Amino acid sequence: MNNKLDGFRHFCRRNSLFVIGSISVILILFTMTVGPSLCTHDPNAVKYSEKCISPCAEYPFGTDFSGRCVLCRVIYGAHISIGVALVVVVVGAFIGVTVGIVAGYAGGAVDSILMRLVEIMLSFPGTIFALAVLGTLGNGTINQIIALTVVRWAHYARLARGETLTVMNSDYIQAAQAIGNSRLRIIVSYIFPNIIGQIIVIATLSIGPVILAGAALSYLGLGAQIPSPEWGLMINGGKEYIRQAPWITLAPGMAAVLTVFAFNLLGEGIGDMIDPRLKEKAEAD
Amino acid sequence: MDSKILIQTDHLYVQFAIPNGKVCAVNDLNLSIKEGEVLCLVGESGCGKSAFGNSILRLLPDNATLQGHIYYYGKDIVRMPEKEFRLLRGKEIACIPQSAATSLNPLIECGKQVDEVYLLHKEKNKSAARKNTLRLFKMLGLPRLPELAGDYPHELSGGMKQRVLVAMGTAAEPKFIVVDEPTKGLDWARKHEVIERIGYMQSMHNSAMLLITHDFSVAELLSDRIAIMYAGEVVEHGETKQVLQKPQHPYTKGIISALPQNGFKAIEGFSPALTEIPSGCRFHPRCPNATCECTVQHPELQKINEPNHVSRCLYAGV
Repeated sequence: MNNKLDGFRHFCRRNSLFVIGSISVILILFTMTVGPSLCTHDPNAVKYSEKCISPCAEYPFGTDFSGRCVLCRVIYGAHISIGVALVVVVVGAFIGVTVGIVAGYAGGAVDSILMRLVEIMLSFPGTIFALAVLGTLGNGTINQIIALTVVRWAHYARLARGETLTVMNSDYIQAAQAIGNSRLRIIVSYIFPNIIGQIIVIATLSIGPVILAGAALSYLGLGAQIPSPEWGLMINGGKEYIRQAPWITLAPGMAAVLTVFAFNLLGEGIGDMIDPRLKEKAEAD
Repeated sequence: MDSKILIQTDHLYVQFAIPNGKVCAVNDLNLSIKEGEVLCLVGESGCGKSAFGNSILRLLPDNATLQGHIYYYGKDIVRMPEKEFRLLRGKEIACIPQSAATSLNPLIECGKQVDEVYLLHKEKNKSAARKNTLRLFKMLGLPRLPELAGDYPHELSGGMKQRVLVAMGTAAEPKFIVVDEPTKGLDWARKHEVIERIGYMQSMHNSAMLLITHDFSVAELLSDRIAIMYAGEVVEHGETKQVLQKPQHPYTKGIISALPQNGFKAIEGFSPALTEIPSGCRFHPRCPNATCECTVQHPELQKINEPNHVSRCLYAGV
């Protein structure tokens, strides 16, 4: 028992970034899932008699220009902002890794075609491209997810292809072929497990930027629509009251900052844990 | 003694495409290996030994082209569809790869990697596969069983990894094993241990073996016949004893007298790059007995008095 405790302490000391990061992310996810049921106010209940109240016991983060509880709205908004980012990263990473492994494994013409496609995607500035996609698809949360995924997958594809090529050159892949494994089996049980570490790190690190990109789109009015408590939208709504009631913009802004910070800590922590050299790669991306 | 011919190559050429042309790593190779026989391929680095080994396994890189034929029980495996060949690979034709340090998947416990071979070819059930694996590990003298089977490759020493690879190569009881430099990077004591185990596994299943090495002591211990390769060609080929005791080709004589126990008399010069093959006899620039004729005429393999002993020298047997 004591031994286990010592081991755990040692683990925490060596991977302090990971431990802090995962605790903060767990707290945020906890707030996101359990928080709404603890809220005493309806996030969308308009009450003009109580508009722009500064933070107090009843409304810890004050109320906004329509008398809605800002804390409740931030908590409800977490669902949308973080949810969108998680979906984008998971779906984007899935598409990207599939494309990357196929390109790296097949090589030749398949590789060239897929990688040119990836390069075309990467040559557009991300936000502008997402704006263009939303411009054609129309507004809304689902379309926002699609637009961000379209922008993100290429990053993962390029990384996955590079890692696949490295792994493919290792002797154990040849050994795996020599004992008679099929191609699919080599991809699934040899290549994928050997590249997934780096993908997880990059994916976790990209959750933060995706949250910000999502908030930016909503701020511009292209993502979630009024009266949704999405953070970007809240900031946009509060910007006219920033002198009288700065808490309307500060609360969702700080929520976004803290969330991004937490996910980045976690990403860095996983990266340090898996491979100390990976940090440089992530910074270059 | 009259066993069937298992592997036979017929005018085999292996070429690699390089930016400005092609290099021929294996040139007109005609060898045969009978059931249960051990043929040892000896030569310097880059003389085409591994290229030949990999061509039997069809694991050559994409830029390689094969000409000629490799017959396995009379069937040409060069032209066999990939699907059909995959049924042979691992089950009937297996390999023990070189560089033990990197040939095991770092993310899978070593016992599981051997289980895989059983699951792919013999057993359906995981616990039966593990039982077989443990029996094999015990035969190979691996310590700390059964815990060792749950260890990851980085927890094993070089010799232990090599023995795990021997287990992977022999688990399916293949008829033919390509053993590529089994002693690379091992110290003297480990080397003997690994060689002994390979010999033991070979004789137990009566598998034929192509042993690729540049170490004569390994060749002497394990092989029935030796083929010496130089710059992509076989220059001498015969029974192990004959080749080692009465070497015919000047190159063979040269490497045997370059062995430490024979006084380290190195051959002058370097073996040629495969892009700059000399005219005539490929060995003539380094040969102490070269004549004018050697620089123009490319010798064929010539028979020498002893049966089955051939040498690619104009003056063989003179």
